[in-house]
Amino acid sequence: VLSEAEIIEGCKQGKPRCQEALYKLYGSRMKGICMRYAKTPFEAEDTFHEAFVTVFNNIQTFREGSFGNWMRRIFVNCSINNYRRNKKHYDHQDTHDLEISDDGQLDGFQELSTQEIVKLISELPEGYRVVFNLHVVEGYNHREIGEMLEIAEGTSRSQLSKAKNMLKKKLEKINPCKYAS
Amino acid sequence: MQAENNWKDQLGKRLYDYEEEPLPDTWSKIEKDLKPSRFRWWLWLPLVPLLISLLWLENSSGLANEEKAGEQTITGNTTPAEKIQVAAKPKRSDISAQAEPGISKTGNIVQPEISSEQANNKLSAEKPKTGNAALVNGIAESNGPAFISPTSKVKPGSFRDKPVKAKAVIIAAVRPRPIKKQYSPIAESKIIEATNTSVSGKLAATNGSKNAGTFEDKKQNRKNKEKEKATSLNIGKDKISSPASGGNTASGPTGTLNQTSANNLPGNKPVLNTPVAGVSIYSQAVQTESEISEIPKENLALNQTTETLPVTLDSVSKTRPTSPDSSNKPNNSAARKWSVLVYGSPQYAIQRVMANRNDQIMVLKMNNLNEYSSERLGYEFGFRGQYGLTEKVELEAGFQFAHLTQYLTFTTATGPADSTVVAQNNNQLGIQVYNRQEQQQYLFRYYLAGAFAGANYTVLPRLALSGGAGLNYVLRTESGQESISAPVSKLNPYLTIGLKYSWKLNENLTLQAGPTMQYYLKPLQKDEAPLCAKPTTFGFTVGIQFQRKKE
Repeated sequence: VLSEAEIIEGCKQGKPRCQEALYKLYGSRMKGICMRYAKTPFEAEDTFHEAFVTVFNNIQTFREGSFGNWMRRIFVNCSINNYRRNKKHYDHQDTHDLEISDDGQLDGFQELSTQEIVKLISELPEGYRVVFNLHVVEGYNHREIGEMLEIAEGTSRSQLSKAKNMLKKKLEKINPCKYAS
Repeated sequence: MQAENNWKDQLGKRLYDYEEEPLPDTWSKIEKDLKPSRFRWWLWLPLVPLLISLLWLENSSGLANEEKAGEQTITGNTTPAEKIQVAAKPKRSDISAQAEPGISKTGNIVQPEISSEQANNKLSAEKPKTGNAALVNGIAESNGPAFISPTSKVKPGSFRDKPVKAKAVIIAAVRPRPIKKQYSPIAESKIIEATNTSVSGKLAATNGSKNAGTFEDKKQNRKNKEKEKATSLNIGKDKISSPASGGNTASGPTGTLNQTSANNLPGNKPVLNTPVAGVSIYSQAVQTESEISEIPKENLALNQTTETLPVTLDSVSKTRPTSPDSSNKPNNSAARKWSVLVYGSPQYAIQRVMANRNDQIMVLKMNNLNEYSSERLGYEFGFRGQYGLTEKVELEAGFQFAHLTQYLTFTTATGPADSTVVAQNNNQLGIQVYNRQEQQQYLFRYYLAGAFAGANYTVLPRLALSGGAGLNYVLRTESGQESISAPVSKLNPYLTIGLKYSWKLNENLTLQAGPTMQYYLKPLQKDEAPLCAKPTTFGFTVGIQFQRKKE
């Protein structure tokens, strides 16, 4: 069994065995990232493929630190790039029924499995989903998100609020009793 | 605020650690993209004949230098103008076979600054056994500073270091004479023997001792007779006029008569003298209008009756070589018609794309239509049989094996709308239709085998224009992307045009190299394929042509 350092070193040397080991080590985790950012499993698969190839092609540049975090950044960046590529298709999502009434609370997801939550997130409009993931999961602030997505900081805030409202409505549909109170 | 942070942390942590198993075939797809750039060993194949040729040329030039060192000059005693450079180039083995202890068979090296005697002595001291001055059998030399006329344009050092220098020397010495047909065929054949020996383009001294032996060979005599017929040599009289002033006489570095034969000449006419140290190949007898040579046949060919074999300068007169490097001209012999060419060529393919999709996917844009990509490199190797129709036109036909790659990336869009957006703005209703766009890759590798027929036309002495048509059969197809399947047309005709530059390596081998273009007449895909691409390849062909020289 190879250690992570040996795997990384082997990948730097282009050894297929180490590349496969790295894939097995991080594949499922990275696929989870792609699923959160993608609208469909097919889109997630494409991003996953592209990101893994990017990792192997650029693994020489990895020097030190957490390799998992390094990989994660690549996968997030690939997801953002994918969002940018398809941005023109996503700008026209129906938003007329969304109202900004952010109360800062989002309860009711405890009863749901992570897979169900991911499914709910994937149903969000593209911009909301990306901002939600970047802010809630990755921990970026709105200024950073604005720079990454080339949008205004306020836009990022509003999109996060809209995302939370949408999720709340979806949660209400799933568990109406809890939100009825 | 605290509550917001709580849900954010809880949800964020759950989502951060979320994992999902990739699809089973995902790794195989990634692995395909991770394949290291393949080492295309076949791209280096054309270098093999080049390296062989270079080594060959280097060896040849080395030999030439050695032979140049063995170049000999017969120096007269009177004026420097009468000095002559004898372009004898004996092989070392022959030299050693001829050399006798204590007797130098070395001629003079041209050294105008010193006297001939000094030069001879010096050379004899330095190179005691560097070879005979290569007297031609049957060609005699007169006394005095013979061998080059005062008007001769042959100058020392003017020859190229090719093994044909002897020709020019002989030409400078001979004069044409009408043929007298009173000789018996045998006698004539001997004359021709001498003539051919002197003009055959072979190393004179190299063949010197051997020729003395081959005179005893009847088979060789027959060959010489054939040569006589072929070359229509002008055979001179049994006597030759040699000016009393000396200066014009016959001698030759192109053959030798061994010492025994020379001493057995009748009448004590030392026509062919055994060279002695210093002045080695001069006749002691001065004879104006006298016989140059009468060689008893028994001295030349064993088991034959004695017969005078007149050898004249005239017999050599018609053997004027065209130029010292005439052997470098390719395909200059009508007798050498057939040849075989083995070649290899790296090829780069460009495409002409014809979108003939009959599905509901449109090709919006070709992304790498003719950009450079290593994926587009292919190769071809094969052999050709060539037949020279004329000196300039040569037919060729043969077989080849080729590897051709078609690599295209393009953007497609679905025909039916992928999504429709209806937007209301200021009492205006707008409908926007969006088609999903995808980037697709089209990578096919074809392995082809086929036949070719064409012709070469010699434009310049070493440059030929080649063209022809061929037909390739698709042996195997490899697809780089499983999602695209394109039915392949098995037979693919093409036209080709190119240039060939030739370097003569030796009498039998010629290195040929030049650019070629292959134009495929139809796409490799059938019409029902979603995308058809006609390849056109550009390559650089390097090959070695073997042309057997007729004896």
